[in-house]
Amino acid sequence: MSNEIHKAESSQLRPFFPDSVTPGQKTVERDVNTMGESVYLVEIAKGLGYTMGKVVQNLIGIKPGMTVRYPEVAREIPQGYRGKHRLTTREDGSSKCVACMMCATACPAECIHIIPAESEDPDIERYPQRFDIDLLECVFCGLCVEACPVDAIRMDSGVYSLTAFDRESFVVTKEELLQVKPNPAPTGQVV
Amino acid sequence: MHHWLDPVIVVARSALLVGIILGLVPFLVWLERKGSAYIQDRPGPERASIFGLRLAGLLHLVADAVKMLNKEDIIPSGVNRFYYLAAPIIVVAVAFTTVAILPLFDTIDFNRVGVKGWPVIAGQSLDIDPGILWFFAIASLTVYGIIFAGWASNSKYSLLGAMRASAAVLSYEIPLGLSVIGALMVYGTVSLPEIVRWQGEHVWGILVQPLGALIFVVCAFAETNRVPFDLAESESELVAGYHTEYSAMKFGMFFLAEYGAMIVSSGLVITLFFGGWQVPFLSTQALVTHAQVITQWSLGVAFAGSLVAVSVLLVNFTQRFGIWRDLRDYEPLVLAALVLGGGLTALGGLFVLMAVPLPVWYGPIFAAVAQFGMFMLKLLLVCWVFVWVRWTLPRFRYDQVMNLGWRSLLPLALVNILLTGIVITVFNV
Repeated sequence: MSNEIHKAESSQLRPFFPDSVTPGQKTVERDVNTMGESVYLVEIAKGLGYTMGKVVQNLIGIKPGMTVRYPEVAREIPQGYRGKHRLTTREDGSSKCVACMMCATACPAECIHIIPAESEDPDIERYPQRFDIDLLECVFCGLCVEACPVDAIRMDSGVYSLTAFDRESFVVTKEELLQVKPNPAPTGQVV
Repeated sequence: MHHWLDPVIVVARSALLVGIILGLVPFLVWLERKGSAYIQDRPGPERASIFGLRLAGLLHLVADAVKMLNKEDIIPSGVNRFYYLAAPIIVVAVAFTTVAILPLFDTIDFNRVGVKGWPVIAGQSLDIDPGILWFFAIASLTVYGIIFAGWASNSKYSLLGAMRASAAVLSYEIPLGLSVIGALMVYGTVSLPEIVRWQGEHVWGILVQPLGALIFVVCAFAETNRVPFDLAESESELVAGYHTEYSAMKFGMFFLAEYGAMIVSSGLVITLFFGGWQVPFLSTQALVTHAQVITQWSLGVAFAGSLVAVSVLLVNFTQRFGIWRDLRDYEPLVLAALVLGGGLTALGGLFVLMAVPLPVWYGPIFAAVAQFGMFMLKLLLVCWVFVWVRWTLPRFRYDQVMNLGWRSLLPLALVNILLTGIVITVFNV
């Protein structure tokens, strides 16, 4: 600390209020424009030269590097990307969900609406009569996936392009969620 | 000197000027979007297509126009209707009226080639003596449109934007006017066609008035409220400035006026300092006399150019083919066919011209067309500078704008007048 004070005092810079330098205070050099900079013209010419270089470069190359031409080409999505939800199934094709309401409780957006029903199967107590997710409410945080004790809900579909013409279409039912396929490879997929 | 065709000519010239603005504005928007994209390493607009033709995004302008005309036109509650509706009309009217003084070509005078009794056609639709003074008088009226828009909108953003805009426009009007005085002292006239003729006989104004030209260009940027002086609509602070509350085509009219002001400013810059319609090294008389030869040469160059363009397009097509398999991928082929057709027409015209001498009255008309083309070329180059600067520089702060205007440009303009006066007096030129 003492070193810093020493630096501030010995510096050639005059502090803005010379008497008010308190111990531990750091003196920062003011960024004052030099003569050439305050005329603007030289700096403007430099900037214009840079941007014109870019224009020429892109006119000749016509290969703007960053751009992904989305509808035709999609950017690769990373592993663990949280896309549209899907419900996993047992061997017989029924949903693994036991309607324990853990996901609906964990959901911060309260977008999961489950109506449970009693199962015929004595091994399975409950099953979801309805399992609706309002994708417009969903914040895609993935807490439902974490909360599920039976691995019934996942977000590994890789579907990120969710479009519809009305709000009702964004409320997906259990049947639709069971249809969603997992993303076979974590690459871009046009939906 | 009056001719019975004069009224027709006046109407035709006015239509030409309106056509220039209405035709150039979409093109400038395209230039702005595409130029900014290339400056920022993006491809820019390139999607909208008609029958697979995209024309490098030019067709987005059609989409833009259709969108603007079809959007819901909202008049917010609480506005002062009369002034709210008057504001866009004023700014557009000013843009259209000021452009009328720009000389687009030298006077078409058939007496040069000995044809008597034909009308003499001036190169500007408003052929009045005040010339540049007319521009200063009318251009100041833009401030009324801006203030009306800001005040009548009943919105704090609009009001702040309007205040800033009018302050900037008023402040920069003074150095703008003073910067021209030096040039007018050299030219000895305020009539724009005479100024252009002086530059044809001597040198371009930029060489005799470099400081004046610099101040004029900077002030022209400020007058058009464009970056780096766009503090009036700084979207990070004021949403959109004085036209925040305008939608649909009423916003479109402000948009049109902004680009119209850009066209007029660019036109004045080239008229005052870059020789206006003067074709370098070719006087009007030379153009009239050698019309046939120059036409033949241009046709030959056009044919050669079309061959180059066709090969470039074909290479482009082979490189691109098969990537997307879209109708739009065949665009280079269609364009190549069109360009080749144009080139062959030029070649045919060349052969015809070698056999048939053109009539005498062709000379003056050719000179006017060539000069008009030169004017448009220069205009587009200066407009590109406007775009280029906009996408390079950051925005000035309000106090910086005022400092620059009052403390730098105003004294510099005065110094310029003084220096010009001394040089003219001492060297007696």
